Amino acid sequence: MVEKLFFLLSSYSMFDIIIPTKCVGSALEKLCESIQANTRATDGQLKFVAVGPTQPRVSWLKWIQHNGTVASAINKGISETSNPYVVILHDDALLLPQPPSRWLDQLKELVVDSKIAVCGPLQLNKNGTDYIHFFCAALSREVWNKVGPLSEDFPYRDYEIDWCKRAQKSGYAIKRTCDVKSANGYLTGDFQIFHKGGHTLNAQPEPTAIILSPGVVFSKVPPVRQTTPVTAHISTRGRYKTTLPLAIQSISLQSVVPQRLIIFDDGDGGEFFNDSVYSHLFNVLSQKGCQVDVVKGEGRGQVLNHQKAIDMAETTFIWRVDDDNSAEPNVLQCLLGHMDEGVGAVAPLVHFPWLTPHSLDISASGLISDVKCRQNVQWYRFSGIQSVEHLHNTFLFRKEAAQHGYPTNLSVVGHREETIFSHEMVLRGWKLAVVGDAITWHLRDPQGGIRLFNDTSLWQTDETVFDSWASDHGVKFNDYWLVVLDNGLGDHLAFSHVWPDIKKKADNLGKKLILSVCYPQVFVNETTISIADAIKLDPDIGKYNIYNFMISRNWNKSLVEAFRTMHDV
Amino acid sequence: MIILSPYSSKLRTGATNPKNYHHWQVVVDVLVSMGHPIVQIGLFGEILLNGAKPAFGLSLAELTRMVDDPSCKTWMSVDNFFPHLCSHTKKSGVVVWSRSDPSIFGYPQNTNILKDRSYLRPDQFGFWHDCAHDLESFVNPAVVVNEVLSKCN
Repeated sequence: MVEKLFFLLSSYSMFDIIIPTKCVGSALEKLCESIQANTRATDGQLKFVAVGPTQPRVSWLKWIQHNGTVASAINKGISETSNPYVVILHDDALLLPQPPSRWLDQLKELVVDSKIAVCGPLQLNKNGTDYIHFFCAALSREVWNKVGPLSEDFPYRDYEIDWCKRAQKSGYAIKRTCDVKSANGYLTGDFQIFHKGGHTLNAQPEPTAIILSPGVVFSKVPPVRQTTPVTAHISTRGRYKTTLPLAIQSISLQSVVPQRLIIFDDGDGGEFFNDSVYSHLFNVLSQKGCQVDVVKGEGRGQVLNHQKAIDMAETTFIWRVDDDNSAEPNVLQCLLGHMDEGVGAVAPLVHFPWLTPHSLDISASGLISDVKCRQNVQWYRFSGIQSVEHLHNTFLFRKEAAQHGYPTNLSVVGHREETIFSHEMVLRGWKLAVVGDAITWHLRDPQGGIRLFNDTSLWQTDETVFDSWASDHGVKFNDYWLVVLDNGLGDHLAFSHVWPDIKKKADNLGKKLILSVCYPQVFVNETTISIADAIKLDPDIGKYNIYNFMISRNWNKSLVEAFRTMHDV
Repeated sequence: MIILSPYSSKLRTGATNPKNYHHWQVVVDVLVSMGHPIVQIGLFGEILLNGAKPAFGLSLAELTRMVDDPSCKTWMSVDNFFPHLCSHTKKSGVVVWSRSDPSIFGYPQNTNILKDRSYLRPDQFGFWHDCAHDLESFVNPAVVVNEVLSKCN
């Protein structure tokens, strides 16, 4: 099988691939595996040559025995091969999932230009000299012969700086393959390669294996980048074939498109670049100036990915979108339009396709103290803006307002994560708002996401963490005490004898009273709600009926006493 | 001045409320003849008793002020909202009972006139439209007049 693959690889174009390596550990083997996975068979001749002191275990690699420095190993490899073009790969590099041979195509496109001495994904500058990092570089043998081999004065590092300097003095140009940045241990951009760094033929021992940090595994860079200062991100798990494409499409169809979309693949292993649906979606986004990065997640849950999005985003605003969201086309524009000074985050309404949302009423609240007893205002229907103290599901926020980061002590399901995250903004003086004129659909796909986890203790544990967080931050949860007077005027007046004591008791218990009445004129100094609103809070209002109470007890004391007994005051 | 709240709320069936006292006119006639002005409270549209002055459509606050006013010597009513309202004042009154139990729905500070407990309906918490208006369940108007006059003295 391997021999067949080598045959296929060997038939590619006109490159010699030189890999300086000590062949200690499994780094070289991992590189070779990534080459197998990401290189296609074409015409021509392609030679993979390992240069180092030990024979590689990979049978299809040609081995040139050499016991020396990195620079001398590269010189040796180039001198003993003959194809017109050479690619230098360090053995601690790793090709990342990509369309077959894309990496070679990208290098080939530039290196065949006779004015270019060397090209590669990473261009750097040291002491005024631009150079291509030789962990991955393609060069012309013709130029190599004119510029000369690497200087032995730079045995392990900086040899490429010296060589690039000489090449440029000779009138050649150096060129990077695309816009690639090295950040947080991985490269981002349109060249799919990972480089651990610092180990190739180094005096220090090689790592036993390249530990692939979660990083960008696929990028689609647009010809012209959008200027909208928004990075959208989606953390996905188990929805690759269901709602994720809908979420991405809704982003692509926004009236204002973000300049970057980061997708954290937290376990699907989706081959986005090989899937025609995703390919179309990414092409649309690219056409609209949105760069798409797919990041391999660690499978440790959405919260970690949300945090990574903050770390990776370079824009003023970050838009978090769930993998089962579908935003109406005006959402991002609407949210941006309300990002006034001092506003940390703005959320759209979050509606469910199977449910007609109610107008805002007593059952809704945006207060953090109501989070356990009332519904989120994002689930309702209204126009304009509602100021709130926490947000849910999907929202746009300022990177500046997110310095506190996401909570790190929640379970993999991340229950309450957005509540904590968004309210921490409020605690730091930022305002939060919900825009009633922007709707994002929450498809709540029964498969995937946190619904993959069946262990209810995860939610319970997170709720305990949430309670502890609330306690630490002085957040007191309202524990509502609903009183319903669905009876006559006389009953209301009788009850009003008991009301002051109920209020005292509620105060002592830290409960918030909600008084639902038929005759609000009896309670002119109190906030009351209608019986209809009470039913929204608790459809079973029969249990509040004083007559039911008296009937069930064969009551023979006074009505006032019945109210006292009923409310235990 | 004596305040009178003569009626309990109308039943949806249109039948006479079993709590309504049918001798109020006699009571009013006697008290007025003895020089006690009667102010009848209630809702617009209710039948005004002869000799009584109407004070319909007042708010709870206005009613409370009226009861609290020193010119109000006492008040009289059937088992309706008014005793409950007056229970928030310091002024006691006279309540004429029939089928409902004053020990449940009444207030001890008032004079609760019940002819006999045998007239109480068995289901004290049932719907009123299931209960017939029984003329026999009420006391003679002289009893009411005497109790009201005793409150005025």
